[in-house]
Amino acid sequence: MGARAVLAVLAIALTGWLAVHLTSTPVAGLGQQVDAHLHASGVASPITAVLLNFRALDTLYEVSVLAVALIATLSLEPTRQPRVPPSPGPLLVWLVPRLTPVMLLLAGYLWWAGSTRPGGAFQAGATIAGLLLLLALKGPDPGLQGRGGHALAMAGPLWFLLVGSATALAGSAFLQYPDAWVKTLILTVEGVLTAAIGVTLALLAGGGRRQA
Amino acid sequence: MSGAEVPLAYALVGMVVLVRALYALFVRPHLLHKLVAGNLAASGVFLVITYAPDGGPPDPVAQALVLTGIVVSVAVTAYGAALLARLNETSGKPYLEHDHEA
Amino acid sequence: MAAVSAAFDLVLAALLALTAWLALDGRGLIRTVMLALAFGLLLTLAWVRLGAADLALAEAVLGTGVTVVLLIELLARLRGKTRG
Repeated sequence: MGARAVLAVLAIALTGWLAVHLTSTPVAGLGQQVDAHLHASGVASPITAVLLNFRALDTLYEVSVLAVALIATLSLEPTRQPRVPPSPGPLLVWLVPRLTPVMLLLAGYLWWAGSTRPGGAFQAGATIAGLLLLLALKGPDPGLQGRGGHALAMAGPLWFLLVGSATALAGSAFLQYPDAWVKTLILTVEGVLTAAIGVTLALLAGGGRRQA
Repeated sequence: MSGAEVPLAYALVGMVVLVRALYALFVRPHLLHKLVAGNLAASGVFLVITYAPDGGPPDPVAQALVLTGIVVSVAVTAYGAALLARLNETSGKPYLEHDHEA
Repeated sequence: MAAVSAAFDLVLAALLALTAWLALDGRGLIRTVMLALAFGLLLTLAWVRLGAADLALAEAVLGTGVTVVLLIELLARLRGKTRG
């Protein structure tokens, strides 16, 4: 298999080149610039500052990608196989009702803590998605596959877009938060994103629409 | 004395994972293998770009990038899975046409 | 102490490479999914070791739970076993 041998050699060469490159070239990150402007970002966590302020537009693109992926998944024809969820085992039946408030609390904490320590909308949203999947696995369907769920999923990018447009209309640039409102706006955007990301990921993982 | 050698190990492993995943993406015929390969390729890239030469935590911009990437990777994998299931329904087999001989 | 820490990291990195390698050798569908789950868990640890707590949080939920749930759903649909 000549082609595989060539590929293997290329792969080893690439890895070797990377090893040499990483150790010889000084890798200059943007960390210093982030730290320099952190005080103006409204939050104390550099990652949240990058995601929700300095590069907020990229985060808006990201939630839009999520929304598009959801729309694309939902637009596939519903599966022909009717889905009967299997009856949950005793572990799920016992555990999920007790885990639900804990996970809700965790998601709320992650959302709030993201301003000053590791956390934020993505982590909180992921926790919500995990909770929704657990609920779907255990018992009666959480019922987020209809209009309500879709509305929640779209609320994330829409609210983000709204905030950006508001700042643009108020005279600043798009998504350039006015100083007095920075932290509040970031928190509200993160809050809506938490719910939206959670619902979007749960719907995506569930495979979109299902017939009865 | 794990100054910078240990993070370098993770970056190199990331490269190995990426290369292996790219290979699997093209060579494995079953579409689920391709799907997982895409997911793991992204993870490999994340390990590479979070390399910090001074051995400390990765650059915040790189972390933000990877955080976004993790979420997008899940979304893309989910969409790919939906496509795969649909293709399996309509064509009867989870392979691309030219990949499945006989 | 630093030697133990470095040894842990090297073992973890090696396991990362190994699980990814085996996950993609194409020898079985469930094998691939389970090894991908193992990879996700190990990657979560790797993020912790690298000091990227935000990434560890996200990977812990997304790379393991959500990804694997959707892959197993996919497997069930591929095998036509979506009836109870």
